[in-house]
Amino acid sequence: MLAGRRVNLERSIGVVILVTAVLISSGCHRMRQHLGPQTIAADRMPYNNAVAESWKQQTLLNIVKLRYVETPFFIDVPQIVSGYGLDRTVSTTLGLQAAPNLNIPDDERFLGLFNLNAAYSERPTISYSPQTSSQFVVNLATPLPPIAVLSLIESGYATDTALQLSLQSLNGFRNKTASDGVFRPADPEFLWAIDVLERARDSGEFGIQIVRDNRSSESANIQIGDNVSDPQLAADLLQLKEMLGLESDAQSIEVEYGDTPTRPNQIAMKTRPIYLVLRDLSPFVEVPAEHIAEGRAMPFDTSGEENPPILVQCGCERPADCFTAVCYRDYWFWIDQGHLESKRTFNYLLVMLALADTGPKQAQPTVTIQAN
Amino acid sequence: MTVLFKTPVDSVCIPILGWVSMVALLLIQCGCHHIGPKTIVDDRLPYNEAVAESWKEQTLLNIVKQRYGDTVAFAEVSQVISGYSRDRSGGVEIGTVPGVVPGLTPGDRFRTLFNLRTSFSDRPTITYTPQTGSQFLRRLARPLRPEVVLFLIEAGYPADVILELTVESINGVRNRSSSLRQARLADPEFQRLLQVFRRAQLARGLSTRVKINPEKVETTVLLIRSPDENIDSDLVSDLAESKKLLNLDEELSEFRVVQGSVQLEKNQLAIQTRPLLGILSGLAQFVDVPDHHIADGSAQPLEVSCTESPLRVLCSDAPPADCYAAVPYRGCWYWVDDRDVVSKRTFIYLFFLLAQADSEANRSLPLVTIPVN
Repeated sequence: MLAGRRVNLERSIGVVILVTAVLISSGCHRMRQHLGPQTIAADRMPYNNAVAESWKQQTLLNIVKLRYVETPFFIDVPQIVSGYGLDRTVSTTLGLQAAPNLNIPDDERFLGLFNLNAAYSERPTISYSPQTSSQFVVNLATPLPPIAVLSLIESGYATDTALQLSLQSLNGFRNKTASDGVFRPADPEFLWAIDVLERARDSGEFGIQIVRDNRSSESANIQIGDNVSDPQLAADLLQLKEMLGLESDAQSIEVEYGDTPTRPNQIAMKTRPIYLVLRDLSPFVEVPAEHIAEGRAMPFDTSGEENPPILVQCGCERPADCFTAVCYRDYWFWIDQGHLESKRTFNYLLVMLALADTGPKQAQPTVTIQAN
Repeated sequence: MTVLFKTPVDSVCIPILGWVSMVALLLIQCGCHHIGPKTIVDDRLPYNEAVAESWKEQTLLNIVKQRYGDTVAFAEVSQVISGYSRDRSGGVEIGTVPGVVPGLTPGDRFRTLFNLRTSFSDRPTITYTPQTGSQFLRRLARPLRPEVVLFLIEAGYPADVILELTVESINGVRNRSSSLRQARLADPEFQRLLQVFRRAQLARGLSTRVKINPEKVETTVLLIRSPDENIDSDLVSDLAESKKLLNLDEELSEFRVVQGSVQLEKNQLAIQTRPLLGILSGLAQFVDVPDHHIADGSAQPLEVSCTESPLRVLCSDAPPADCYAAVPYRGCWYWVDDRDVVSKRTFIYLFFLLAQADSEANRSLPLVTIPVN
C-alpha cells in the first residue's frame, strides 16, 4: 500500500515537472512575438494623431481666445516615452509539509502547487514644454521677415493664401485687419495684386530668388517672366507693375520690409507678426450673442467678406464630425470638415508657428534605463 | 482510484481554462487600449489653460504688490512631465495541500486561488524656474530701449496703447507719472499726441527705420511723412500737429531717436522710456485698494486719478465667478472684469513686453530623468 502511494507520488511529481517544462517552453516559443514591436504598431499612429489633434485644438483655442482679448499661449509636446512591461511567471512548489496532526499519513502531507502569474504594466511619460521663452514670445510679437514668407511661396505654398495671411500691406495697399474692435476688409487692389501673382505663379511666370550678399545677409527678389503666353495674364502683370510703381520691363524686383518702397524697382511688403496673423483670424469666429452683448468678446462685422480664411462655428453641442473642436467658456467652437479654406489656413499656421520657434531648446528630460 | 481522481482532474481543467481565458483577456486588453495617446488629447489643452491662467494671476499679483510696495517675483513654468502608469496582473495557484485531519482524499485537499490586481497612478512633475537672476532683475529695472517701443508700433500694435504703457516722456512732453509716490496726470499735449500718433499710424504716416552710417553705427530714425507726398488732408494736419507738439523741425521728415528726456536738436526725438518695473508700478495706480489699507499706511495713497485708464483692477471680499483673473492678497481679492476689453488687451501687451526682460543666458534647467520601468 505504501509502495503504491509512493509510486503515485512520484507519478504526480513527474506530471508536475512535465507540465512546467511544457509551460516554460511554450513561453519561450511565444518570444517570437515580443511585446515591443506590437506596441509600436499599436501606438505610433495614435500618438501621431494625438499630437496633431491637440495641436489643432490648441491653435483653434488661441484664435478663439484672441476674440475674447485673452493672451495666446502655446505648449509643445517635445517628447513621449512609452514604457510597457509584461511579466509572466510559472512556478511550482513541491514537497512534504510537516503536518499539524501527527496522525496524518505521509502521502497526505504532500504539497504540490502550480503558480501561474501574468502582469502587464503601461507607463507613458509625456513631457510638455510651455513656449514662454523670451525668444519665442519676442518672435511671436515681431513681424515675420518678408524673406521667410517668400521662402514659403518658393517651397510650394499658394501665393494668395500665404500673402493674405502674413501681409499687412503691399506697397501700402492694405490687407484686411481687425484692430480696436473694427474689421476692415482688404483694399481691392491688394486682393487683385495677389490674385495676379498667384495666376502668374501657376503659369510659371513668377519666381522667387534668394540672394546672399558677402556680409551673409539675405535678400529676396521676385522675378517676373517677360514672355507670358496668356495675353490676359500679360496685360494684368503690366497693370500690376504700373500699380506698384515698377518699370514695365522690370524682371527682378527687390522686396523690402515697410509701408512704401524707398528705392525704384522695389516693392515694400509689410509683414505681420504671428500674433497679428492669429488676431486677424479671430473676427471669423462665431461667438454667442450674449458674450458680445456683455462685452466679453470683441464685436466684429465680417459680413462683407466673401471668402473668409477660416470659419469657426459655435454651439452648445460638439458636432459629431468636425476638423477640430474645443470647449471654451462652456461653448463648443469648431471648424467644419467641409470648409477646406480653414484647413488650408491651419497648414500655413503650422509652418508660421514653426518659424517663430527659433529660440534655444529647453533641456529635455533624460531617459535613464536601469541595467539588470 | 479512478473514481478518486475524477473530481480533481475536472477541477484542474476548469481553473486552467479560466486562467488561459483570463491571460488572453489581459493580453487582448493590453494590445488595443493604450492610455498614452489619449492623455495627450486630454492633457495638452488643460495644461495650456493652466499655464495661461497662472501667468495672468502672477502678473496681476505683481501689479497689486507694487501698490503695496511689496517685492515683485516671477516664476516660470519651464517644463511639465506627465507620467502615468497602469498595472494589471493576474495569477492562479492550483495544487494539493496537506490535509488538516487524516483520511482526506486528494480531491478534498485540492486548492485553487485566483488573484487579480489593477492599479493606476498619475504622477505629474512640473518644474518652475524662479526668475531671480541678477540679469533678469537688471533688465526689469533698466529702461526699455526706445527702438523696442518704436518697432512695436511699426509692427502694427496700437501706438496709443504702447506709448501710454512704456513711455515717460517724448521731447519733454510728459505721460502720466509711473511713480506711485508722485502720481501726476499726463500733460494734455501727451494725450493729444497719443490720438494723433494712432491716427497717423493707421494712415501709414509714421515708420521706423534703422540707418547704418559709414562708421557702421546704427541709428534708429522715425520717419514722419512729409506733406508733399500724395496723402490725404487729415493725415497732413495730423502729422503737422504731431511735429508741433513735439517741437520738431516742420521742414524735416526724418528724426533721430535717442534715449533721454531732453531734446538737444530740432531733428531729435528724445524718448524717455520706462523700465518694466516702471510699467508695472504705472499700472498699479489703477488698482482699487480698500480704505483701511490706505488708512493703516500699507498701500500707497494716490492724489490723482485718471479717467481713461489702461487697466482697472477691482477689489472685493470675494471675486465674481466669471472674472478674467483674480488673486487674493492681504485679505482681499483683486480682480479684473472679463468685460473690460481694455484691461485684457493691456495684459497681452504686458506679455510681450515682459518677454523683453527674460534672459535665456543664465538659465539652467534641472535635468529630469525618467527611469524606464
